[in-house]
This record gives sequence, structure tokens and C-alpha cells, in this order.
Amino acid sequence: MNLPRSRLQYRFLASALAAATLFALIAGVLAYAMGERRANAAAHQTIASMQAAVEKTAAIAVYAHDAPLMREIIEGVARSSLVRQVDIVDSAGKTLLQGSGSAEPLAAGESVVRQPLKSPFDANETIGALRIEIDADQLQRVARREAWLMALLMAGQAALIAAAVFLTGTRLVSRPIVRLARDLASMPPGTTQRLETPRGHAHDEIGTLVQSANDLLTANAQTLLRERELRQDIEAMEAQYRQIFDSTSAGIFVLDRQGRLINGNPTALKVIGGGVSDLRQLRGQDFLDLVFARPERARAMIEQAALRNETMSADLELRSMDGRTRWAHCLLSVQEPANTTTDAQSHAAIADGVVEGVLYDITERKQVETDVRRRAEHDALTGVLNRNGIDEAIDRCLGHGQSHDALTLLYLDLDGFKQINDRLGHHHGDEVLQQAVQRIQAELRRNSDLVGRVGGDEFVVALVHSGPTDVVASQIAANIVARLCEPFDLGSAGAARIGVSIGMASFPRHGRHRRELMHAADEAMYWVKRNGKNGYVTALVDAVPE
Amino acid sequence: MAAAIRSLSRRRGLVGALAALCLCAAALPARADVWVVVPLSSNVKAMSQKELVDLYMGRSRAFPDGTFALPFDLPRDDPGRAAFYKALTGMDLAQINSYWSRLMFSGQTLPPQPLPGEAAMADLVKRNPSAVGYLLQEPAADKGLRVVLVLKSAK
Repeated sequence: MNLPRSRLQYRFLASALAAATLFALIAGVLAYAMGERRANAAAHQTIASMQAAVEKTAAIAVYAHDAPLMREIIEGVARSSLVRQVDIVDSAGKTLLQGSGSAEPLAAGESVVRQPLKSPFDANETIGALRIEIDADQLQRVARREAWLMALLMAGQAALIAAAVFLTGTRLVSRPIVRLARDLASMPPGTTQRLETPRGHAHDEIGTLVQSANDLLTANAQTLLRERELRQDIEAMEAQYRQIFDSTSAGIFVLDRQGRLINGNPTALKVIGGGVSDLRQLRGQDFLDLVFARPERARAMIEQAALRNETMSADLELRSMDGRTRWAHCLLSVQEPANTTTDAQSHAAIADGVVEGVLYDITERKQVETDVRRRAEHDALTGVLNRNGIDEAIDRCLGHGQSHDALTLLYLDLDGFKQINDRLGHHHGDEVLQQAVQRIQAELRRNSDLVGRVGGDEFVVALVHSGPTDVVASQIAANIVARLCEPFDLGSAGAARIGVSIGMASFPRHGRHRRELMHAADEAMYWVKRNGKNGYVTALVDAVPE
Repeated sequence: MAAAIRSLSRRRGLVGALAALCLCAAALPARADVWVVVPLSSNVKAMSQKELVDLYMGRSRAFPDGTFALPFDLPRDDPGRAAFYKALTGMDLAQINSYWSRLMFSGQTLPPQPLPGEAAMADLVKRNPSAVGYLLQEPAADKGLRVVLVLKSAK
């Protein structure tokens, strides 16, 4: 019997021992009592048997007064260890013969058995008695011995049964279970190991337990494997998204509702430009103030996005970090708190939602757009507005006839320019035109004054804030005429001379619309041309057709 | 050999006669009474059956009047003896013998002295004043014996 090494086996042994002890105790007590009773009964039975055996002979001996025979009987009976004293008495109670036993007086509880003796020839005549004193001490000793023997037997039986139960239980149940528990405890999660069915347990509950545990292990391993695959998938996906996030051409950023940066990708940093090498340095700062030239517009977009719950987009000018104007197309949307991301660092910040933004660098496109618009409105040769440009500029100034401010148009036509073109070539003609524009611009006083080339050698000058009665307008016209009459230095080609005819018309005197004013000025210019050129004149009021 | 067979056959005749006699004798106690006798010289005039039992079974050695008593018996296997004890104690001879064998074991108490037959019994009792004996037929008056008890045979 090997010693119990586990708690289960220990408890099992303890229970078996306790039960065995209890049973042995109970059985011992019962067996003791029973044994004592049985021994007493057996002793009395023995004595009764002895009496019966010697009764006849004793009667004969008494009848014949045969002392030797009586002694023989007494000695025979007294030989029993249970008998303390044997006497034969006659019918009168006189002791005929006393046994050689102890002469001590009877102790309390010691019993005396008295067997009457009948005459062998007359059943009615009692001739004496056989008196046997039972040795109570001896009886007690015998009874005790008997009782102890029985108690020991019962206790031994109980102990043997307990041992058998323990051994059987250990072999059949606890040892396999202990081994299973140890094996199972030592297995790592997802192991490919499997429990072994203990020999002889294939078809009982332990076999079922092992089978179930193995099934669970298999299921567990499969689950773990599946989870691992899923995790790998997710990691791969995450890496892809991270890759996209990091390398996309769109700058992506996340702000809290106060406009402070939570996260952004490298492209966002590139779009913003400037001296920051890492977006993390901007974390917590007001991104909008830092990045946009007009942060209030971005803020307004965020408010709108939150209000309408949709993505707002606009081209926003970025705050210039290096003197260059930069533009970005910006998409802004607001995520309500319910759909928050799980960026652990910004839990507090995103409690009231986050702002997601996407930036595209559109500086180049914006440049192209500006250039295109510039080309559409300006004369490529001289750099001043072209016909289209001056028209729109004048319209803007006139405010569609609603303006209260005065405006005077000068319609200029170069005299003798065609001859220069023909004589010196277009190249020099262009040079003359460029120099002429420089001279015209030099005569203008205000930045708001406009110059436009409306034809090959025709120009329009718009003097804002100058009315028909304003002498400045006439002065300017006179100066322009004077300046353009001066010879143009064409370098190796020598000098060239041109003149200019100028017609003037003023708002609102000569009309409320650009077309009327232009027409009036043009009419006036032709009047000058017809009347000697190189001069200027203001259109007549009544010459203006309705 | 032939002589031996002849002798045997002659003897068989004798045995047959004896057997017939025995049968008669054996049949006797069944219906015969027993006469207990003392000499005429004895002071004993009558005896009870119990007194006789005490005398014959070794309990007492004296008559009721205190005088010494000497009981006589028949031989061990005598049919008359069986009849006597049967009538006296109701026991058969085997029981009586068993009784005596227990007492004789100790050697102290001895059974009554056996005599060869009834004739010897009658003769001895007549001549011994202390004697007591028994006969299976009533003694003649002139024999010098006094009948003190007649035991009726058991039915």
C-alpha cells in the first residue's frame, strides 16, 4: 500500500479509516456485550450440562451414602474452572460432603446452582441436593476473554473491509483521478497532448471523463488555432490599413472637438509643411490655428459638419510657414461620441466626439488655376488687363450701375503705331507697346486705377473715384498724351515716335453701364482722331445715345 | 468327527429341554409373585417395600427395628432375581446392574451376597437369624421361614 500523495487520496484514506474505526468501535462494543452474554450463557449451560451428567450418579451416591462416589462426583465437577465450590447435601440440608474448593464466603453476585437429587427408586423422594457455586471471577474472566475475542474479530473485520474498500477505491477511482488531474494541470493551453485512458477504465465513468476532457482539449486547441489565425488576419489587415494610413497621398488627422490634434499621418505633416518633423510634437496644440491661414473658416466648417452630420469640404489656405502661399482641399467630419475610436491616450479628449479631417495639397492646382485666370484676364504682352479683364474690372467697380462712386474711362488709341509695326517689325512694335504701357502706368496716381489693352493698339484706363469735373482726370489724360509723344528708344533700331488720341467718359454722367461709358469714350476718341490726333477730349453728354 | 456330531446332536436335545425350562422360568415372573422371607427366629414380623428396597439397594444395613440385616440374592443372571427386582423396584436387571456397577466402583457399598439358587436361599435364611431372602413360590409352613412381604408381580 503506497502512501497517499494527494489530497483526494488522503481524504479517501481518512474517511476509510474513520469509518473503519467507527464501525470497529461500534462492532467491538456490541460484540463485547454479546460475547459477555454468550459466555455467561455458555458457562451456565456448561454447568447445567455437568449437573445433568452427574445427577443420576450423585443421586445413587447419596442414596447409598457412598462417600467415595460422592467425592468422585465432586472432584469431577470441581475440575471445571467455572466452579468454585461443590457440595452435596442431604434432604435435611446437612452437608454430606464438601468440595475441596475455596472455603471463602460467597461474594456478592456469585451464584449458586442447586440441583435436587431424587431417590433412584422413588421419584417422589428427594434425598439431597448437588450444590454448585459458580466462580464469578472466573466466569467474568472467561466472558471478558470471549468478549474481547469477538470485539477484536469484529474490529479486525471492519479494518480489513476498510482496507479493502480503500485499496479498491484507490485503485479504481482516486488514483486514476489524481493522475488525470496532475496530467491535465501540467498541460499548456492549446497543447496537442491528450490524456491517456487508465487501463481497465475504457468503459466506465473515468473513461468517459478522459474522453470528454480530451474532446474539450481538442476543441480548445482548435479554438486557439482559429483565434490565432483570426488575430493574424486582423494584424495583416491592420498592417495594411496602417500602410495605407501612413502612405496615402491624403493627409489624415483626428482632432478633438476643441481642434486639438489627437493623431495624424505623415502625409498630413507633409501637406502642412513647415518646421515640425513629427506630428506628435503638435499633439494637444490647436491644430486649426497652427495650420490654417484662416482658422475661423475651418471652425465654421466643423460646426456645419456637426450640425448637418455630413462631411464638409473646402479649399483652405494654409498658414504660410515659408512665405509661399499653400492651399489644401480639406474634408472635415465630426464623429459623435458613440462611434469613438479606441485610441487609449485620448479617451478623455474624445468623450465629446472627434473631428476627422483629410487634407489634399492643392497648392499646384491652385497655382495653375490662378495662372489660368490671370491669362484669361490679362494681356500676355504687356501684363495689363485684356479686354475681358478690364470689362469685368469695370463692371465690378460700377457694381452693375448701383455704385455711388465716380469713375472716369479713358479710351486710348495709339497714333502711328501701325507704321512702326510695318517699318520695324512686330518685335519692335511689341516693345513700343510695352514701353507705352509703362509710361501710362507711370502717370496713374492710385493703385486702384486700372489699365487694359482692348485691341492691338487700343487701351482703356479706368480712374476710380474721378468724376467728370475732376481736373485730375484731364491732367492724367494730358500727361499721358505728352508722355506717349516722346520718342521710344528701341536700341539698335533707333528711336520711334507715336502719338495718342484719348476719349474720356465719366460715370454716371455719360452712362450708368460699362457699355455706354465705353461707347461714349470711344466716340470721343474718334472725334480726336478726326480732328488732328494727339489730344484728349471728354465726350459730350448729348452725344450719348440712349 | 462323526462321534463329535453325534455327541452334539445328543447335547442339542439337552439344550432344547433346558431352553424350554428356561422359557417356563422366564415366563414365571410375569405372573409369579415374590415371597420375601426371614427365619422364624427373627424379630421381624413384616416389612414395607421401601424398607426392603433400602436393604437390597445398599442404603440400609438394618431392619426397621435396628437389628443388623443380611440380605441374600440369587445369581446374577437368575430369572428369579430379575422377577424379584422388577417387582421390588420396577427396574430390569440391566438397570440394577448399572446401579451396582457405579457403587461397586467406589468399593465401599457392596450388593447383597448371591446364593446358588432358591434351595440354598431357603436353607441359608432358615439358619441365619439376621438373614433376609426371597423365594418365587410360597414356602411351605414347615420350612422354618416367615414371609414378611409378598411382592405382587408387576403387570
